[in-house]
Amino acid sequence: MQRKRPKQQTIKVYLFFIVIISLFTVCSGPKTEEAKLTYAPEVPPHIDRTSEAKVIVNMETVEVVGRLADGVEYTFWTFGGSVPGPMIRVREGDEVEFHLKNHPTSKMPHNIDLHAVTGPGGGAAASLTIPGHASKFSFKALNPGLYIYHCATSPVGMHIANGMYGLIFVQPKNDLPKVDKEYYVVQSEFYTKGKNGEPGLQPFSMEKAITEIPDYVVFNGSVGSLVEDRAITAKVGETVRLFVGNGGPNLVSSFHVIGEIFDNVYTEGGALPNQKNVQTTLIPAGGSAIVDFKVDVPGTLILVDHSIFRTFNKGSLGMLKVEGEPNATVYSGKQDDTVYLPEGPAIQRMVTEVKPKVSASTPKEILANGERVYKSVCAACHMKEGQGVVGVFPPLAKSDYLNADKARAIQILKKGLSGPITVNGQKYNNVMPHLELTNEEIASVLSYVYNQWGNKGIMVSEAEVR
Amino acid sequence: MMNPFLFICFFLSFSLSAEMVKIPAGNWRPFLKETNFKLGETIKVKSFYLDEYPVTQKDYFEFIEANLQWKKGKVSSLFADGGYLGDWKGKSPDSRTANSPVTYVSWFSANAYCQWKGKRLPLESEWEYVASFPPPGKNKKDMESIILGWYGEQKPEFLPSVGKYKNRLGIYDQHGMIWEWVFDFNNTSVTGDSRQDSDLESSLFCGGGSLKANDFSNYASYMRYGYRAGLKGWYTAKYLGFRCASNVNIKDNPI
Repeated sequence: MQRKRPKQQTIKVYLFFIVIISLFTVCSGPKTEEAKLTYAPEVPPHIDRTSEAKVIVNMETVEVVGRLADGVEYTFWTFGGSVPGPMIRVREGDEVEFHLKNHPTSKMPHNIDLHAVTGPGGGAAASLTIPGHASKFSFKALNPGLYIYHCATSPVGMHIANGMYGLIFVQPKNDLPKVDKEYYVVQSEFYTKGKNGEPGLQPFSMEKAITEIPDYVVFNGSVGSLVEDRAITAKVGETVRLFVGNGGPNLVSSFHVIGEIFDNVYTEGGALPNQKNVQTTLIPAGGSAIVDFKVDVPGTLILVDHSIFRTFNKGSLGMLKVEGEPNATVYSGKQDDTVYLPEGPAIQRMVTEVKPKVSASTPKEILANGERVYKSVCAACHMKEGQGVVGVFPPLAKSDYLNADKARAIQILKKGLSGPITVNGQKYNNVMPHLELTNEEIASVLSYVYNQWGNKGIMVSEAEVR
Repeated sequence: MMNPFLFICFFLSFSLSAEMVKIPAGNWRPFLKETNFKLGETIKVKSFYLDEYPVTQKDYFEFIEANLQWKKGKVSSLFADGGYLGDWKGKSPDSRTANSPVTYVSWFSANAYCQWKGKRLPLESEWEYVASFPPPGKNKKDMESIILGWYGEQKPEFLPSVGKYKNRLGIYDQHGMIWEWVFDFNNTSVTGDSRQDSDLESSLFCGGGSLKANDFSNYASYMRYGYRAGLKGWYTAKYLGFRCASNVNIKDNPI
């Protein structure tokens, strides 16, 4: 009997400790939070907490018809209704609970393979979801870095080719240096039945995908998604970090920003800045890179895949607009800020396959054809409103050079142009490639340009072009 | 005198009544290498009968009228999920879609329908064997482009009437409109030893897909295998319907 009493006390003490320990565990256990997903070019906010958490990610797959280029539509298969899918940001060591929902209107089964997952299929088999259903799986974000995610349902290539990819950033415990601006850019290519610029809803071409000859190479899911009023921005003196992914499915990217040098490159999206002062960084398909740089002077910096014909013929062109005070010292060191053409300064031939839909006869039809040609061939460099890019691509709007000489303009379109010219008082020394346009296309696009943006309003006939 | 409109309706419903088509015996080379088969090996498919058309909404409505336990809203959640007949506003199909394939049906309900008709669901090998025949005068490449075209097309407001696509054997709409249940839809993802499931399942994805495929150009087929691998017997989905098979010819609507 005497021995029983201490035993009961011991049990009470144990119980007390168990309660305390479980309370402690509950209170100090990982916090649960929902990941804030963002659409390109927005990057999710920096994670300020210094402890691990349980992070819930809610993502939906949905098949939508959207714009691939002006006048060109495509049935995109997407994460979150956009291409690329939403960007995810978690912290190294976080436990991620992933909910993948396949919208009931989908035709296709979908899943997700996150390259940030350590485990079979990156979660693909665990997340295979037919339309109208939802799957859940969890993983621990063991490795910091920037990772692609993509759909891996058979045929994998087709799901990727249709737009199912995005980035997940596992923020290192040993944090990256703070920057002023962060942006999300993903390159990818599209394979369509119709040739580049062919209007209407364009079906996917398996044949072109297998032979790896895309009709469009784009940033953030469509031609022109990062230009003009959709351009990303910064102010002089600010530091900018780009989280750049390459969804592929096939091409590797020679990522370059015209007019900037990357101060730091986290090659292949790893957690270490392993290279400084880089001009162009290679981003493999299904890979990524983190680059950062300080912007020193105002102007428009051009994001390109420096496998350059993709940029000027297929759409991989974006803009970073920098505002602020000029800095003559820095800028004078960069006077030779031209487009770099690896083939040399000779005029190149560019095959464009923009055929007018119907032969135009009335001025209205001619101008409509001209507008279409302009948007698919010229707008990438000379911009939608003909404003050009200062110092790089001459303006066509209110252009003294253009308005002064119609015959010269025709010759430029027929043969291309290289060497120094002065347009509206600004010097340009660049190469305009020879665009293999038909006489009818040249006449219509020139007529269009002459009837736009304060130009002199004349028409150019096919006979004159001949 | 008969109202001409009624006559047309009668004619349409008569002409679309599901006849069964005799499928000749033959060899079929599976798209994926099965566990018990070598790559490139063919499977013998015995002669059988297959419904000419997918089961339509009108057909299915008749089934429900005769089998009230399959009525919308009454089905046990063990046998069909909450999406069951989800595109029917009321308890019956929209008149515009009477001759469209019935979708939002589970494996259990499809199986019950076929049994009610004295039939059965086709085996995956039977279904795929028949589906591998291209339309008359066309080749497999054309067929693949029809399938891929369907994947990429804009989704219609409602499914068209059956009879859109016909293959060389006279079977309609195996491609280009809906997915279809097969009896053994889960046979590629389940083995006797459940510990191996994850490995076998992975053969359908990524590397496995290309290592185990018999025909690399038949990309369109991947999707059906992927779709089936994601199914459970009680699932229903917007583009998922079925048709029945039988070892003997069973006359439908013997009016």
